[in-house]
Amino acid sequence: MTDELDHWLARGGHEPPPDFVAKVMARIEAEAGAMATTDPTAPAGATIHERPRAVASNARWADRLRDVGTWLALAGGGALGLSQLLAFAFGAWAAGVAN
Amino acid sequence: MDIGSIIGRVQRGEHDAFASIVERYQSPLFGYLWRLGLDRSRAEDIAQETFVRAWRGLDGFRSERAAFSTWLFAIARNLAFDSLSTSARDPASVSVEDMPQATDLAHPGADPATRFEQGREFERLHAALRRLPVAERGALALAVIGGFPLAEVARIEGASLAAIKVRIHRGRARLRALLDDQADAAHGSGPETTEYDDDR
Repeated sequence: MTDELDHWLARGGHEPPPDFVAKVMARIEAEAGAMATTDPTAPAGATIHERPRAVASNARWADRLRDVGTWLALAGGGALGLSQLLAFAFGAWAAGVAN
Repeated sequence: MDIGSIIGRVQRGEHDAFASIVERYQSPLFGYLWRLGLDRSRAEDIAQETFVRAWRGLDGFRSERAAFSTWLFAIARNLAFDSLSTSARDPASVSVEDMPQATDLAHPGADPATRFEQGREFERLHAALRRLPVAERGALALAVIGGFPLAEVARIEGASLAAIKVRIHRGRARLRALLDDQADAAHGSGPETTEYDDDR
């Protein structure tokens, strides 16, 4: 693949305009700003430059913590209920044996 | 700095670091879009949209699943193919003003006569590329020019390795025939006759 056709194929092409990086970053800044100002989970003091992805990441962690808390509460309640049931059964058995 | 570190910084919230990614990939991306047959303004629009979508989706990018360049070029490829299918339905949407001028494409350091001649060659090449079937154009642009390994081309194109090899082989042969037709036409030995359907 080293013939003249490949030579031309390898060389031709548009060059990006000199301000292309600035244009892309301006769009990203604008989008990040719009998302940060409209995101209801953003903290009250969040600035326009705060990255919404970081806010979303914090929200994900909060959701995970809430889920873990829910499971812990369910497990604790279940264990407590089971111990009450066992205590009742033991009491009934003890009363039966005593008679 | 390696691309993984830059991506990590962006994922941790330093979105200014994304500028390094744009700087690194802008030229290869513009080159790829040119070789897909897109005019300058559409290439710029698609390149911009590609980077913005990449930034939006960077949280979901996993380097163990694909190289960043594969992922980025797959985004560009999908946007470009959508644009090409739109312009195939509506040819009037491509304006003559958007076409590159001969001297725009030539080597900037060359003297004016050489630049003009090089620019004319690039114009011929671009015209011939635009007449290739899009699927062959896409595979050629990635493999022969972009330097992607064939396995990566297959992932970007969403095709099998065997299909990519066939597309590249056929694309090169057709491109050669189209360029020969153009050369014959330029020397007055006959009209351009080679024509292919613009299918995927």
